[in-house]
Amino acid sequence: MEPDFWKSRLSALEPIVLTGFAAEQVRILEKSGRTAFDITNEGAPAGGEAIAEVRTLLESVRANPVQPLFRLSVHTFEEVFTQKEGCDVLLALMQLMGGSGFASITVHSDQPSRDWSTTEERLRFLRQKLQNSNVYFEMVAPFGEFGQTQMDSLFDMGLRVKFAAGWTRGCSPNGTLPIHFETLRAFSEFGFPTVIEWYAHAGNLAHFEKQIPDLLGANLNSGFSLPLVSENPYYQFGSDYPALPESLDYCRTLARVSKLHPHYDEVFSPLVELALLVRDGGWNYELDIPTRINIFVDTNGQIKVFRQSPALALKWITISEVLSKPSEALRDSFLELVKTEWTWSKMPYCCECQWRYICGGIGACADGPATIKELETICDYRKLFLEHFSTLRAPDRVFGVPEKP
Amino acid sequence: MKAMNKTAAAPRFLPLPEFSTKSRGKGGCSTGGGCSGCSTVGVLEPMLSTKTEEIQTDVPFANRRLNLDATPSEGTFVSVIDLDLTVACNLRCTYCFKEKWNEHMEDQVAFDALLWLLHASGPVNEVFVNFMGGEPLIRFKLIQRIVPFGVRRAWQMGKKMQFGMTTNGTLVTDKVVEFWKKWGMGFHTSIDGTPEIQDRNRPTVGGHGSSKLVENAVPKILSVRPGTTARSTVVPDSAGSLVESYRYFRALGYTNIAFVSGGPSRWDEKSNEVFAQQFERLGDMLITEFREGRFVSLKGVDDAISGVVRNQRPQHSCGAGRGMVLLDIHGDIWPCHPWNKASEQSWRIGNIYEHFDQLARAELDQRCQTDLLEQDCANCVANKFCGGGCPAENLEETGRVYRRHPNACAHTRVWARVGQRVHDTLLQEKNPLFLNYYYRKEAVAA
Repeated sequence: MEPDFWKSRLSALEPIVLTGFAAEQVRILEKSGRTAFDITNEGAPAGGEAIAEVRTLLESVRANPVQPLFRLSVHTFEEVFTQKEGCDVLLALMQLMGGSGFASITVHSDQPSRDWSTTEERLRFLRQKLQNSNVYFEMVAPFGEFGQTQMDSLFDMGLRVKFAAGWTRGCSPNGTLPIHFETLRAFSEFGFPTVIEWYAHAGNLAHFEKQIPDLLGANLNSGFSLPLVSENPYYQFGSDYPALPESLDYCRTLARVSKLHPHYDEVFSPLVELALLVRDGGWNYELDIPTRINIFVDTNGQIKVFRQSPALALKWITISEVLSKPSEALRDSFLELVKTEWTWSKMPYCCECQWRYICGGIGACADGPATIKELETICDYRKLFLEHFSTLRAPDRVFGVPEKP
Repeated sequence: MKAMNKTAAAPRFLPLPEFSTKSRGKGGCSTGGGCSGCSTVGVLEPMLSTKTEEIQTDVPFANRRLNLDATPSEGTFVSVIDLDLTVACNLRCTYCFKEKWNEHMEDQVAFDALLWLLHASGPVNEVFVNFMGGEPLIRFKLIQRIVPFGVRRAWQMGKKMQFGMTTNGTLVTDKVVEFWKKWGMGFHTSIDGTPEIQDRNRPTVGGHGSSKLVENAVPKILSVRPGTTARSTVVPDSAGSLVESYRYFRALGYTNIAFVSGGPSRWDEKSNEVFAQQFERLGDMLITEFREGRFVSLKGVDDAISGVVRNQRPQHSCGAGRGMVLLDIHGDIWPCHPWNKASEQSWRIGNIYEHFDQLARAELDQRCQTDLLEQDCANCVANKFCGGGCPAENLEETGRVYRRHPNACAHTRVWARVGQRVHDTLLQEKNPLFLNYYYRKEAVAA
């Protein structure tokens, strides 16, 4: 039962071959994660017949007309969202994939206060115009006040709130964003599951673990996330910004926290996304693009696409161009960009990784601003947990065990 | 059993050691099943032992954290909780089984209790919270906060949380009614009967009658929920006035009426006979109501008719300790409402901040409780609907949860006989209202 045996014979299909998670067993994962086969020693098929069978099953994933649903996440700043033009752009972007798949709009802010009535007005506008009811709205901010008057209708319109913590624009590189516990409590008592979005950097990782009990107390067990600070749209790579944590520290923290607090795994980013990628598959063969793509609408009118970090985003189009293009042309332009500019050959860090079709890649092009060490931090935890979740999922078929009648 | 944490400021069993109630019942039990009902009866009498378990704590109250692992890991998921928002009450009912002092549930515990329920219910999507006390409306401000919270939070988790309340009715205002209406709450009103009985059995803390207060509240309550139950606890002294009280309840507008005897050991042959005679007359009145086109549900008789129609014995008396538990003001988990006394520590299932002890509820969390009953039910006239009575009452009266007091059986058999007669009469007459309610309900259930 040599993994190399299977790797070499199925190399054209680039399967992921996992060993060591169960005795005398090999798991073969289709490269996008859509399907998994276990092959046991006892009674395992041998020779060309078995290889042909596995190959057929792997190939069938590509040809399957039912491909994983596409998840489009559009991120923007509150300054864009509160402008009518900004909302029109968000509306146009939500139509990119038609009515299928899931889409989300995440509005980021570094400000504790806001005019909630404007938020309510904009959200109502989008809700009325959007045809896809799968779109959800999320606000991520270090909230410092609770707009009691508007909350009923905001809740009813499906607003989700995440409490930004850890770092945001304006914090020192080693600093930790203070949390307004009273507001956190107010949101949570109202009934919002107010997840803490703790942006992890080298200087705040240990502090986060100490704070967890208090955070869960204040947000009434709504849970927390621990994304890297590089996922914060205010973040840039450079010395004026926080350093990413050491890869090993980050991986260990994620593992430790998820074990200690298993009740929040439904909201615990980034692990929840990785688990879903393993469950649903990371690649849409019909469109030949990753199943998850993020779009970032910047305040300067630029619209970019990114995979893991807005700071590594690729320029796509401008707000005015989006508003002037018909939706089909916009879709074609988007797909062309993703297929031509986002090819593995232009991403040296990911191009040989066996996990890239599940992971979707980290989106770092050759001349990007991040250092290799930073890219390792962005990448390592993904590989680690993709492998972990891949071993946890149930196989679609087991070779070597008689099939149940 | 490991003691739970609490602060010195929040003593668990406060010193009412000189008194205990001899009997108890269960409030807010939503499962019916021929139990003796949520009765509450007895006479204050000296306890045999004043020794209470002293609970120590190392963790200040404010530092406690909800333990989401303190939920069932096996057995029945908990989907119904009775929530003691306070132990304080503005009435001093002569038979009340709850120990009283002026302590409320901490606000945080109330929020945590709802979160606990959302997790303890596992895959069950509909969960229920019944506010109890003391008088829960003493905590109306808290109720106004936790009900919207629970509804919204449950919705975010793909669940539905419904709320109810057992209230003595004296604190019901227009504001309360509006709130109930907005959030779709259900409730029971504890009301014993005619003003004379109500004032005698349910005086205020100051010793005044409470009937006027309740009378003022009833129209408000019924305007929101016409089907609200008037729940009367019957003691031997009031057994002879059931008919009179029935007329009074009907005049107030109630159509759901529960006369539930409590404290079986307080009853004797003579009072049992009075109880039976009164119920025979109530049966006649019920038949007349149906003949005249008015639907009335009379607890016990209604259970018995449903049993006759169903023709199959229920497997459980109620959900106590299985799908239903009580969370007391400290977050302690008990099988149900009357079950949180110092002398019953072995029945404490756990605490939402600490642990959930599956073993403590094992005796109750049985697939079929009626198989475990310790009396000969095979030939009992009530065996189509009786699930073995209130386990808490059984425990109090006989020391065993599956052994009923003979008087409790006697009262249930009264319901059975009257129910059978009402059923047979109205069925023979092909009473459309009766058929539509009982037989269509059965058809739908089937």
